Amino acid sequence: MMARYIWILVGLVLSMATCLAQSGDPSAGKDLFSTSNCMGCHGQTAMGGLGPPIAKTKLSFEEFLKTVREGKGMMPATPSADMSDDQVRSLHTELQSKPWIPEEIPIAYKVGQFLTTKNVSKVFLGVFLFAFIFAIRGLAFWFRAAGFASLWPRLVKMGIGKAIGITIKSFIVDGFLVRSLWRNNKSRWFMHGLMLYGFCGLLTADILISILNPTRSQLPLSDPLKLLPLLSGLAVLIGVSFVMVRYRKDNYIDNGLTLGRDFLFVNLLFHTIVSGFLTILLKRLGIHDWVMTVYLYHLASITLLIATSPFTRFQHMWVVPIMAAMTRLTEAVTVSGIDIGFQREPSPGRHHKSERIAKNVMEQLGSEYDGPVCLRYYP
Amino acid sequence: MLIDLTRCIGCDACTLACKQENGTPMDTFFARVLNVEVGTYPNVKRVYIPVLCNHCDDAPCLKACPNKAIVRRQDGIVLIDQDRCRGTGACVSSCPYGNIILSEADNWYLDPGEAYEEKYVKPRLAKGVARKCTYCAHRVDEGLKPACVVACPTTARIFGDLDDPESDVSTYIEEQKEKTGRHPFHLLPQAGTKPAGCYLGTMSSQTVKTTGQAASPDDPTKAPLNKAAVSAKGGE
Repeated sequence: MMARYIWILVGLVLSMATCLAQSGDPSAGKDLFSTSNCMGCHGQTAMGGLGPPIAKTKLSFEEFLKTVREGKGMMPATPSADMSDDQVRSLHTELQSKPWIPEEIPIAYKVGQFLTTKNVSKVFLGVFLFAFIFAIRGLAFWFRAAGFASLWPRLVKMGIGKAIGITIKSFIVDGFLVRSLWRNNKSRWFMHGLMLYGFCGLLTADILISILNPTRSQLPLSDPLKLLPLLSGLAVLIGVSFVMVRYRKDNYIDNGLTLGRDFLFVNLLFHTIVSGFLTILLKRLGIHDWVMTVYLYHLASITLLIATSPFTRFQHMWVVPIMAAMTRLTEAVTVSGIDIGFQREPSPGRHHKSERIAKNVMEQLGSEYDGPVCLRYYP
Repeated sequence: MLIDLTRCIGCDACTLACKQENGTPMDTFFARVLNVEVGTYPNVKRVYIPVLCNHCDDAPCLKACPNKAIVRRQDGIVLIDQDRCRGTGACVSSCPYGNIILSEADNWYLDPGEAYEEKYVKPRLAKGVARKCTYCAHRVDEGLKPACVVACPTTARIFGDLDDPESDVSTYIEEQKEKTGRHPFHLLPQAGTKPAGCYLGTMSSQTVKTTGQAASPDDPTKAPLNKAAVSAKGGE
């Protein structure tokens, strides 16, 4: 709940900053600059909003045209269907003649000027790295809990190649295809799939866009690079809405340990997707005053989603497949008979875990219990 | 729950009591006793380590469960909800103690239709899902102690709330610290799970403190009956 209020607050502050930035002289006239979409970001006097000040532009016409056509950083590309070359030329002249008023440069621009594609990518890379380091640390906890050190020699004995094969199969079947849900509850599988595959779609789209459209210039809705994230986003939105309703209705959802972290994840995901769609909608509707604010909110949501991922419910994305694969591996070790010859273990890995417990207890009991430790089983 | 290793004689009464109480299928043991041999001849010792779910404060199984089927109750008991569990198997690996049981099919000791647990327990144990010790939550709710605690002939198991200084388990721990200098320890502290179950070590290395009084050989009933005089009589 708290998180939601903070979000609203952040949104309000940002939008106020934008409004302040645009409260320039209203008598600027109905010239090309104010009738086109430029004013939304560059301010009413072209002294900058979330985009930089462009009055008295020093760009040559060729450079100016290139920027308009291809977009730059966060600036969307404008195709010639929306603005002819002639119009761009007169816009260029108009801007060159606009007066430079330093006191009009808004505070928001000082924030906005850092938001180039390059800087945003750098921040995301940093956030990814942060999340990655903590994810690895988290993973160490899980491997320790699972007693991987005592399982490893058995895996070596069974054959690493076989172990890798089982792991990959488990990642696909138990992880990516979520066999357990498929077997037990098809509707839950479907809802989970909407989120899982939708998320994968978004991730793929983002990678593809970074490669094929690095300046992130605007694309038509029918473009595959636009369709993929849109449909994926829609899938995630439906899935996450379902989860949010379930969270409200299901008293059982509080497991006494992770409720806060679960809520954080679900809400951040929801805000990310909704603000993403809102950005597109506002752009299409031509409400340019709000596009930047909502887009910033979208970026902030993604940043937080990734940064908190090693600690929230997000971690189940890597913990569950890895732990399930470990269970399959342990089962295979038992069945292969390389251990002490159980035909099957009702609790996979029980023998090597028991050995670990026994050794640990002997260590804690003191020097009197030194020596090799052996477990005895009686039929 | 506290388990005093000095008192445990490895009789497996807890294992049986648990099976009877919970009606678990073949090969499924919520409570078991590890028979550990340590050392090389001629210095070999046998230690019995009763193990069961530790109901960890920071339970990895609970955090690993993708279906939120594992729940930690207000009183600290960690339960697997049989209806919500989908048998993914993530908890099985994440448990450092190997105390979560997941098998595809159940085998029962008695023929279908003959088993006493047919109507009573089987409905509670859904097929193909994970199960584990519940600290006999159904008994605890009624104010009873878990079946394994009641069954232990040597009272090696002491059940109670560790956070409550007045509880049986807390007073026993204090008493043992004072009398025998033993401090409770946890299994696999390095796993970082903060288990609720704790253990007291064996006492073979302790000096046996007595009051110096011996039972009268003529009349054994005149043995030092008052509790204070018995003191802690540890030993081999």
